[in-house]
Amino acid sequence: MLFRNENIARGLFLCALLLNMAVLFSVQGKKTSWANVPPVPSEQSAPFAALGDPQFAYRNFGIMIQNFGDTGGRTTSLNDYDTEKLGAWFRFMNVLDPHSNFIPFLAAYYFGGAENATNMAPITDYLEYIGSTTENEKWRWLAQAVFIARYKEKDLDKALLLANKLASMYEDGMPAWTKQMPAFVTMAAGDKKAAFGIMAGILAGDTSTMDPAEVNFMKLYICEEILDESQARDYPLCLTAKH
Amino acid sequence: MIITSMMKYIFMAAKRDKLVLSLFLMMIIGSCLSVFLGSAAVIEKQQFVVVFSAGVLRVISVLGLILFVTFYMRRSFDSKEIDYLLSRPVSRGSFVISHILAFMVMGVATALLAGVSLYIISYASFGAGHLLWIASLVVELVIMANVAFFFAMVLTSASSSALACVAFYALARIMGQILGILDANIGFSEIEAVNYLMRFIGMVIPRFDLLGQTSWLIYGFEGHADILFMGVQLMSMTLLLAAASFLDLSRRQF
Repeated sequence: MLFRNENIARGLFLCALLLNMAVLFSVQGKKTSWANVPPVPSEQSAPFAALGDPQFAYRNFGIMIQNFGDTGGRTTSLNDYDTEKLGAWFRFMNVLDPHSNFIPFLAAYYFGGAENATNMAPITDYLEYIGSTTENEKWRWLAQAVFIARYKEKDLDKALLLANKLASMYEDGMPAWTKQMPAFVTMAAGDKKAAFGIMAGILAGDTSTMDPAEVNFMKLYICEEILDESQARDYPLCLTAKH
Repeated sequence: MIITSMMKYIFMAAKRDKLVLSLFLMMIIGSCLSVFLGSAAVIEKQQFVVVFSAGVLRVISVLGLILFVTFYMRRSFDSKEIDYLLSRPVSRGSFVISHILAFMVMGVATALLAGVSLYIISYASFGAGHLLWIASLVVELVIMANVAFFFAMVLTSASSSALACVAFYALARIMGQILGILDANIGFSEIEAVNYLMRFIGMVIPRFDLLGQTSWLIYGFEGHADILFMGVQLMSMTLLLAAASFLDLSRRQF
């Protein structure tokens, strides 16, 4: 009945259009809130989201984790993330794909890059967990855990524990610094005697498979970093060390 | 001869509905979106692109076939085309067989189209894992086309048939997870009867979670791919759906 008159219909259409424009304009500045890192789904139910394809779920969740808190024009400081929940997400993702380096990379270089985060332990714990496998040079993530524990968490005891773990994983083909790592951490803690013991111990062992440059570096490290000038003069190795 | 003619008739319907063109366009758009999304990853960009593309291509292929089959079949019923065809020397058996065969050919063609798209995206790493993925997509599409045929025969609305197919597909993709939860004794439901019901459903719903794994595109087989199972599932499900469709058609009064 109302729409029989075309002018009334046009007027109604115009009013409705203006009403919609007014309503939507009033909410243009509103953003959906972000309540920090969301809870982690269960391992059993996660692939449901990607229709039974764990790899597809891994990549979908991966992009989501990379963009946590930084969508729709919003940016979130790395210091403000709930690292406990992040750590749980990282471990959960490892179930979906234990081979990929995408999540370890995010943990080590992105979330691990926070300058003033209060709790980095979940991140170093995760990197330790990932780095403990021997597959495809995953030990590099353990080295990154040592770095974060030492420089970000400033927890030298933890860094030493991780460094010892890394050194124990050393095998031919790995760079010598993985074996030397405990010496670096003990030096940072001021324990020169322990650092000397570690470096001298490595040199006393089989160094035939090591690059000569690595061996020379260890000699120099002992003679120039660990020992002072007078101690170096009395240490036979320093007399033959190449400068 | 009659079966071949009927199949040609169905292919003409697909051509008329611009099925191939629509699928082709959707696959291009889906692949472009996947490349865009995958490129946003900080590392492993190529892996992201391949996985996203494969996932999107699979869903587009399945949805395209479901929509074509359900709407084509319902339109054939509504326009009395089927009544006309069955009034000719076309038996109900040859009607079902010709449709099943035609939909199989369409499933293979669609999977090959998706395979070509995947090859273009990941030609540098294209290998046995990719071929296996395409083969499993063939199995998935052929079964789903026949599921759509069955639902379009049984249900009287094209929309409800398409929705039923989508629900069936989703259930088939997650059936492995449901059975895994049941096996882990976590309990899918507190009501024991529901758990038994899910186990029974798991015996008649295909296991698509064992097909089309995008991890094959990155890491190869990893011992998860069971080619024999794929073939057996394809044959057994096709047989079941053909028989069910024939039963429905044989009971119909025109």
